[in-house]
Amino acid sequence: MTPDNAGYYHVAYMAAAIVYIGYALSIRVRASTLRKRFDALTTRTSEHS
Amino acid sequence: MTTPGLGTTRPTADAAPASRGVDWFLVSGFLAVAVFYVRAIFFTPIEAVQGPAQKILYVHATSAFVALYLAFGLLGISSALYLWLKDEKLDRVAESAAEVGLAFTSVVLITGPLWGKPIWGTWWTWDARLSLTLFLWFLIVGYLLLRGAIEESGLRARYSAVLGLLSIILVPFIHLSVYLFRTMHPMPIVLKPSSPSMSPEMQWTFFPAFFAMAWLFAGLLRARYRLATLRDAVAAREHAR
Repeated sequence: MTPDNAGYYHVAYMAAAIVYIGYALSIRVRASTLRKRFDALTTRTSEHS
Repeated sequence: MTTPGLGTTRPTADAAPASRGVDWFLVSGFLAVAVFYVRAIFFTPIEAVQGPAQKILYVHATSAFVALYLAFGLLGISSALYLWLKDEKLDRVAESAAEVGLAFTSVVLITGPLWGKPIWGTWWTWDARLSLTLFLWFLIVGYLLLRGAIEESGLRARYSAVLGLLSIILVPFIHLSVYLFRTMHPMPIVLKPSSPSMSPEMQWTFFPAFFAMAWLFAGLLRARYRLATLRDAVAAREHAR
């Protein structure tokens, strides 16, 4: 008889999705913060010149 | 171009920071994985002995292939090339491959116990393959912490290239661990000299799943590389002020 253990694979698929989506979002958040800093530095540099 | 190890290195970066819009390449990688999820969950037969938990294979083994052979392979190649050519782009590739590989290895270490519990009756066992994979995960965490701890970019790139090269020595041991040691982990069912030990329907899920994961890896790697380029551009601007 086939065992009833579907819950484990549901949790595994959800956990994998959370890790990958969470990691992609972390890259996006870090890029957004850096871009703001880059823009601020560019503005300051152009004001000085 | 930086001058590694002299203590006077300034961070440099490519002229243009990463684009601001939606990263469609990365989004397409996630869509590919979503398609494989649908295929695995709804259109792939349940294995008679292990039951539905066997479907963890499609996310566990594919993530392991991507982490060990693509991500850490790239980490090793770019680290070796960096030590030879001293091109900071190679350092960024190595850094990006290590971090993305860490995410994939984390999935391997999370989904493995979720598969082990219903099949082996335990979440974790200190057998060779599991222990070596966990050890590699810690080494990559150490690699990323080392990168964060060294401010001078040339020195950071050189030290981390050496640690990156040393870390990936574990990869062939992890692959061969099921042959070298007595282990609970099953023998390879795909990466072996003979044909895969899977039904054709399962192969039609497994191989597209691998390509979807590799696509996602490429998307994440590209996004992470752009982040590293932007960070170096900011550092270069700050240094120029």
